[in-house]
Amino acid sequence: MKVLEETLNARIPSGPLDQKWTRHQGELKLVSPNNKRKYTVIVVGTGLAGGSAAATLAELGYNVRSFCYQDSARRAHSIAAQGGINACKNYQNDGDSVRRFFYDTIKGGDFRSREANVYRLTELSTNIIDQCVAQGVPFAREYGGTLANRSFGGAQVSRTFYARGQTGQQLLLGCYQAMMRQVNAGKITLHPRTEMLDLVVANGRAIGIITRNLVTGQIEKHCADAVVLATGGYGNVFYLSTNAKGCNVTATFRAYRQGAYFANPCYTQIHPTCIPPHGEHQSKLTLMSESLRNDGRVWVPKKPGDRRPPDQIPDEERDYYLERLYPSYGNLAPRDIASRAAKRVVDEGRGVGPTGVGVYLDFRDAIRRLGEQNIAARYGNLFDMYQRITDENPYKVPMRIYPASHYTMGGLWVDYNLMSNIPGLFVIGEANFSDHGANRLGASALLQGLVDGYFVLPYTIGDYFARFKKLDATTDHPEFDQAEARVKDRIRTLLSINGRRTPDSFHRQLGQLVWDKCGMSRNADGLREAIAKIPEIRQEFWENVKVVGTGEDLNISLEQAGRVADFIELAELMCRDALAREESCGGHFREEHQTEDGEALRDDERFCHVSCWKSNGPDADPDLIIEPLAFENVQLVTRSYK
Amino acid sequence: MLPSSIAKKAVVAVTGLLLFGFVVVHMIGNLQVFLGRETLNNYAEFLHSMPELLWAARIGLLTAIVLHVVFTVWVWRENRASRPQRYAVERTIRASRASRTMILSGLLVLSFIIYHLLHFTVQVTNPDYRQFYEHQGRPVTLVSYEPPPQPSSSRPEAVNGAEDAPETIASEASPRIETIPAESVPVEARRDVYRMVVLGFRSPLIALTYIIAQLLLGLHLSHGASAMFQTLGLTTPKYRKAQFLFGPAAAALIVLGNVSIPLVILLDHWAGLGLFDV
Amino acid sequence: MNLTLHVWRQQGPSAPGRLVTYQAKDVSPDQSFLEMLDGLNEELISRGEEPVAFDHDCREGICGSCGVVINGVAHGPEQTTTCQLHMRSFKDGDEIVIEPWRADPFPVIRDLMVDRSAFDRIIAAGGYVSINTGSAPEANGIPVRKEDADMAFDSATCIGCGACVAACKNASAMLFTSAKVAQLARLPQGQVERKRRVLNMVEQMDKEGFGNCSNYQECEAVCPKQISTQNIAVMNREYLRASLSGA
Repeated sequence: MKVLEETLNARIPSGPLDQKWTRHQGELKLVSPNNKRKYTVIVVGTGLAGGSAAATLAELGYNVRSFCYQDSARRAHSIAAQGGINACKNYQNDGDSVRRFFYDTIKGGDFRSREANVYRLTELSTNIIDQCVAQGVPFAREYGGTLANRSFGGAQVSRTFYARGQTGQQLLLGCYQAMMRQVNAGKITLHPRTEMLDLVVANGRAIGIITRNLVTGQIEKHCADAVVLATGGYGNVFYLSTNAKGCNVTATFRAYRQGAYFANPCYTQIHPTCIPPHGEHQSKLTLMSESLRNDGRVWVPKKPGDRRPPDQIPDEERDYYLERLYPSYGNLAPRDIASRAAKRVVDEGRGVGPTGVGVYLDFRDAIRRLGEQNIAARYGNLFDMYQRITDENPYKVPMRIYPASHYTMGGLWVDYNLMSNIPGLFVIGEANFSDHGANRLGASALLQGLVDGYFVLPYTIGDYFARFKKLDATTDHPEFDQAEARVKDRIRTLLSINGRRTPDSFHRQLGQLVWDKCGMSRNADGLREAIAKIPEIRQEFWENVKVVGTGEDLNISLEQAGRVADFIELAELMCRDALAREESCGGHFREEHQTEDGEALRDDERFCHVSCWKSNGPDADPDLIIEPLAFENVQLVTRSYK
Repeated sequence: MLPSSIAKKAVVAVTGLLLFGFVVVHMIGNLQVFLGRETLNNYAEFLHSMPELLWAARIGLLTAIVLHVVFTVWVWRENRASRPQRYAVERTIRASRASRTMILSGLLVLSFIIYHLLHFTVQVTNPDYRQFYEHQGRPVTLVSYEPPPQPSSSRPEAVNGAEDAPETIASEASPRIETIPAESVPVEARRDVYRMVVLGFRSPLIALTYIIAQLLLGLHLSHGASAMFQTLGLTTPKYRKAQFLFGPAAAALIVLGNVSIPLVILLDHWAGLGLFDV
Repeated sequence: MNLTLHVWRQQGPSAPGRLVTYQAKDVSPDQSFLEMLDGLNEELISRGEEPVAFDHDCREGICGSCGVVINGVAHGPEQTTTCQLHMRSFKDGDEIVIEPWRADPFPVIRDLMVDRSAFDRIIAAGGYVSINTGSAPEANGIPVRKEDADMAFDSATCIGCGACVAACKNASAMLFTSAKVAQLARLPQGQVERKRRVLNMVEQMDKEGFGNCSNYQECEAVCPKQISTQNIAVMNREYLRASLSGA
């Protein structure tokens, strides 16, 4: 590994923290309304970030081409977010403020995020609620007609807005509807069932993408004045995750191969409340909203190997370990902390359920206190979902939960303007690395996607257009032909291998390895082992994968194979990053670096930075570039939720 | 511009509502057969006493039927076109049999209506009904009917205004029915709807036809009389359940009421109870 | 358990299709229906045959991608999405016929995959509040009755899977369209465009070639989100009022 001396300019505006964004907005260059219609922007992905960006850019007058692999712009996985969206409106009068939300987020991210980005995120959170309400998003309300809030992990105030357990769905449909309005107005062209397979960079600037039409198999070239990637995270590298089956890293990983820096790939979030896996056929894991921890109590038996049914274990023989270990936050401890605590008790042999991999989330006391009806009103749909999947009634029997891969804080590096190191390539939402540091707080993913798409990118993209000379938006550049050739070559190769193993079998193998070695906790030996093993998987993949059908047609196994191929390469990068970061922080827990009672031990001297990886191609080690993190407004303290 | 799907269905619902109203009124009117000859014939006479209104109602109802049928068939054809390829396995979870057979029950009821009009109104199926008259509470029968030579003759329609018709008194020999020559219909005589109905339903075939038709009508209304609220957007969350019960309940009452007429008449006839005085 | 599957295979929209029989062996009752199909596909790929194409994504019942007709019922025997249907709803030796959504406006793309873009066009015709980013008033500025917010939410939970169309004997899209109309008609934010919205959306719905509503209630019976046909009554009322009063 080579550490490059290159300095990355994050373009963080000067001035006091609370004036940075306002001042920056005033300094950003503008594109006049007449000229906006001469610019075309490609937006890949139609989740909260991509959808909100596409809609807003179109409203501003830009021509937008929107791409998604799903059949409609309404289906991206933002839709599955259950619990809510944070905003420091302080409607509850419980002492919330931008400053407090900012601090919670910085602390939640274990002091590994940029102050300025986080401040902007929290500052704009209030506008997001206004915007969504105006779109007709039916947030929960009080009888007086005002908006209701609930509390969420990692915060001591109630700042989470929600629409029952389907907040992500309601927000995404808001975006989708705003997009469809622009489709109707002719400002957005939709390309559903289309997958981005490569980025086209010419003269150092992103000028377009290569896509494959998933129905016809057609490889298409699309040029634009800017490319926005809003393609989500790479949690599916673990094979089993709470991500949608189709979620993949191809768009951002191909951009990485074309020169974009990949930042902090080892920061992955393992969500503490998922339904435990049941068997080898399992295709994905289902999340149970973190909001359940508001009323549910997490426990395991005190005695290892206690196989009694939960109702026969008396209270004094139960270990409510989160309440015991973290009395001030209790069951609402942040995700990484709650996840690791669950792993610890399971590793001690105190796990529950048929596989012994799981802990109880018990609503007995809440039902006694509030009545079954009130619990049903709060969590009814989640309880139904749980019962459907497990065939157990959570009103009677405690839920069983276990952590699962859920979100990835790492992503393509971007500056304050959300532009990557390749001019013209913007990355928003989960796909970038920007706002959550080493761990994301619950109900802040929706927020980041929407803030990026509605209120940041639409300003900063204009600045890019105004500063850089307009290029001829045409696919005549030789780089388009080269990119197309790369894509076609790869497809041809995949189709010609004709081996014996299905793409999924490689994915499962990879996922298990990464989960074991680079999952909830990591150590140097395991990571080295994985770094040695992954290239072997990669080699076998390229020799023995079985892809049926042709490239000129709808071909599911070809789609899968392409995505798995990129996951394999990404997994290696993740492990390298995890190995290089010799500290524990947030979602990245290195067993060598922990306190006596098993908490994460940061090393602010050596690792208070963003690790950015620069590709040297699949067969050479990547280089590392460091972006130091400067904390001027908060003190780096040990993150404690005790 | 063609009407939208919702507008078409609204036409079906509004005409359906009209026809439903007519069915109810018609039933109440006809149930008077159980109150005896005088009541029913009074009612018939009353209806015929306002020919303009009667004809307006008839034209209105006819239009409603035509619109109801034309729009339904139109909608039905569109619905068929919306699923050109059927499922290999077809299953129904909630849709009632009534709702799935609306077009069939509707068309059968339509053919019944045509028969019913031919039977009782135009009387082409049973021309002898034209000879049934009532005089001073007694039934009389015209033995032969010939077109009268003058306009002021004793045509049935002209009964009320036929001043110069000969004064003939019907026989006192009732309950046996007096037969009198057509020319000698008394001025105060009126059509004997009562006898027509009772004699009509003493025929088992006719009674059975009516009973079956009423069951079909009931099936049709059990869905239609609820669905019209939904189609016209009149269902409300609070009364929704009641509105969905309305159709079956109303249909049951209508079937009960309408079937009772032929059924009771036929059973009475078979049992020889003599409840009906013809 | 072992099952016999009869799966609709069709190369493309205009190609003829047919039911093809496969055996699914060693299916676990804890598997989801789609995981069972995954297993079939793994086997087909291993044998060098083309896997069965079906739409799916989130696999937790919210994205609305998945949906097949199982033994004549959209999404199968449980009232949920296909991805949330578990094999414990079947028993050893069962024969399962799997067909795509069938409706003229939903042409088959391949096998069990259909094109539902007609739904997108219905939303594009008016299923939104026309407000540009940045011009929103303070969120608590307009109070919304809790009852209205709750009812709007109930309508808004539609996932756009298309089961309503698939289940309707008339392939009608009334439930889908009405859910959006009713949601926005219920909220103060949706009032300004209320009349125009319903007229435009219904016009588009008709243009796509969906059938009419015969009040069968089959749509409600299969809707994974239990969207009520009361929404249809609301849309009918909204539509008739808008067309009678002029938009």
